[in-house]
Amino acid sequence: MSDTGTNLLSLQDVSVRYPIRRGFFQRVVGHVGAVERVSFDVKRGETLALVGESGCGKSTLGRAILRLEDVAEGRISTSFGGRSSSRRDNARHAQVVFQDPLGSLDPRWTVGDLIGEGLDVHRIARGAERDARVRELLAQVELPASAFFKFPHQLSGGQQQRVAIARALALRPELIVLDEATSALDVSVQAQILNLMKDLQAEYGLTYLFISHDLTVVGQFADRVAVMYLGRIMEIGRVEDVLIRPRHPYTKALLAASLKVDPEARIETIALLRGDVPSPRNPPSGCRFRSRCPLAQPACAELVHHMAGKPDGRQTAACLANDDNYQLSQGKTK
Amino acid sequence: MSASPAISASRETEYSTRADDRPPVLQVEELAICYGKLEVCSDVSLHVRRGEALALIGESGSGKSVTVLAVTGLLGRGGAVSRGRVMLDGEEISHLNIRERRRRGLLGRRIGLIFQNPSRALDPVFTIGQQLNEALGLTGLSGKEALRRKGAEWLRHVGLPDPEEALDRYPHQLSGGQRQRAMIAIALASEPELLIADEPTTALDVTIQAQVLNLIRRLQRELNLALVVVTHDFGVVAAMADRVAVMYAGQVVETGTVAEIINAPRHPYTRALLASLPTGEPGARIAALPGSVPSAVAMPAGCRFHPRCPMAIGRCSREAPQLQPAADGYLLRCLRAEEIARHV
Repeated sequence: MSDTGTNLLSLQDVSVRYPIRRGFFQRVVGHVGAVERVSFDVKRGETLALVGESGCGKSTLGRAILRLEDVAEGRISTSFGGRSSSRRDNARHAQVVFQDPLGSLDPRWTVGDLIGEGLDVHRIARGAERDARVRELLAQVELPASAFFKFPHQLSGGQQQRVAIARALALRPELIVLDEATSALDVSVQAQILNLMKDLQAEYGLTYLFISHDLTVVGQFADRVAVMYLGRIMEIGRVEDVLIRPRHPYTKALLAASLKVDPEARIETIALLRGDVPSPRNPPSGCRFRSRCPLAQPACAELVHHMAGKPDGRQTAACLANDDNYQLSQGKTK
Repeated sequence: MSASPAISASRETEYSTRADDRPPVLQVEELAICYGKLEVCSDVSLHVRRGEALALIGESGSGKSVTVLAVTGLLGRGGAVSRGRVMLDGEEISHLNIRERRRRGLLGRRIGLIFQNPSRALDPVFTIGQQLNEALGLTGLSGKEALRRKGAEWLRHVGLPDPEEALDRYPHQLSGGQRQRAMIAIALASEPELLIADEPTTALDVTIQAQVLNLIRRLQRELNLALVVVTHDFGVVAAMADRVAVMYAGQVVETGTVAEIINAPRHPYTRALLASLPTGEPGARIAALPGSVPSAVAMPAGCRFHPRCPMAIGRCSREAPQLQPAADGYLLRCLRAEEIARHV
């Protein structure tokens, strides 16, 4: 384990690729770069949000941190309590809550068994001790004790998500990856769950990786935010900087396109991006956003992706439209 | 974009001389819907006129989608309208059977439908062109060449790149946003007067969502349609609607213009719902509304919102409030409406 000080998690040039298989023998004919050379640090006790549209690699990155995906290049270093680096040990310290609670809870298990599974697998507690722990967890996520013997389908969506959170908490993890954990919930329930997660974070010093597409939720819930597009980070920094004074054209476009609860913000007044997100199989050369960027110029096709940092920790991907960010005259070519 | 010839000249003149005294295109009055013995929707009243966009907002389980199904006659097995009326252009349609609906053009022609999930609403074994032809055929258009020309025109109108080619594509060959555009083209190709969009952009990314909503709004204006947008997202409401009906537990609890509902909500539920939206303010706590929407099996007596209502008084658990105009003509379902009106 590297010594990263107060950093719980540190990513250096991480790339994740999926093989493209073709033909009868499923031969690997190429790779899709789902995540390309991503670097960032996550401090203990903070919430880092990953935002972006579908296919931008935010969930893949979350899975790589959980070791559910292999990293093709680069390094993910963690400073969790344990020293061993097996996936099973990693699971004690890094847990996950997914978007669809019903899909992540086995329908034939009772809530008690679902929450206690981790305690069994890691041989932390048995019998009455285990049940007592589970009841304690139920209370922590504000579920009635009577939920212990219920099945997931007997609970409402918000309660199911609370079970998923209790399950993640059972092993006293340091990091929880929240992969669109509140996206499927109604607004009033979403607010309850977000408040609950804030309370749990304050109580146990949890670190969250909050994967979301909803910029308003991110603005309220996260400390820092990384904006991703087609596998690359376009901008990363504190929430109040990135979401209030965005620098990269993609962050600006994303903020402009998200709807505000304001009757003056009519759809006719919203600036539209053209086209769809390109397929990651065949991304544009140079700056990946150039095919949709309102400020694109021919030289963008030659741009080499790199992050330009500021002393406050804010980093923005190189962009010809923001020429004060970096040297235009560098003339880097592929 | 130039106006499509699909827009008849008469429609355009109607748009310019729009008057509020004409009967609404869709009028739903005190509608109740039952599946077997279970009443899933108890008292829904709403109306929408030509050229107007009505948003129907509510959390899941509020009965908004089932209201749409009742209007379109797609309630399915066991579902039936048990009380109230659905009027299309002043004509009662809620008790017609499928054959009668087809004869009167209520399936597809006069009511256009856009669903949340285009990959499930489009038939995977037919090309976009074939599915468009079915809709175009309802308008009486025939002939291979004419259908193809008109089909391509519609696809161009909704902004699909290479419309000629897209006609021969199967749904799986298009991206999510393109599929949603194709579905909008199919819904509009039969030249309906009423367009119902049921969570039209919930499955789409934000930048694509803005494109699709903009398209729906533009076409609604150009074709002078009555539009009903069903959604759970106040952002969509603010961007699209002229008027809003808020639903809770199978009832409409409040209706008003979009500015009234968002800037000065009256019903405690609407207020709590708006307060529970994240504001994007870093670190701030959200005023969460406790509990969840009751299910149709265990509906609370009296006002259905009273167990979660911060303003509930003893009376609320005994008396069921009616949807009625408050002192200034604002439609509200609350026993304390007069008190609330005084404090606005």
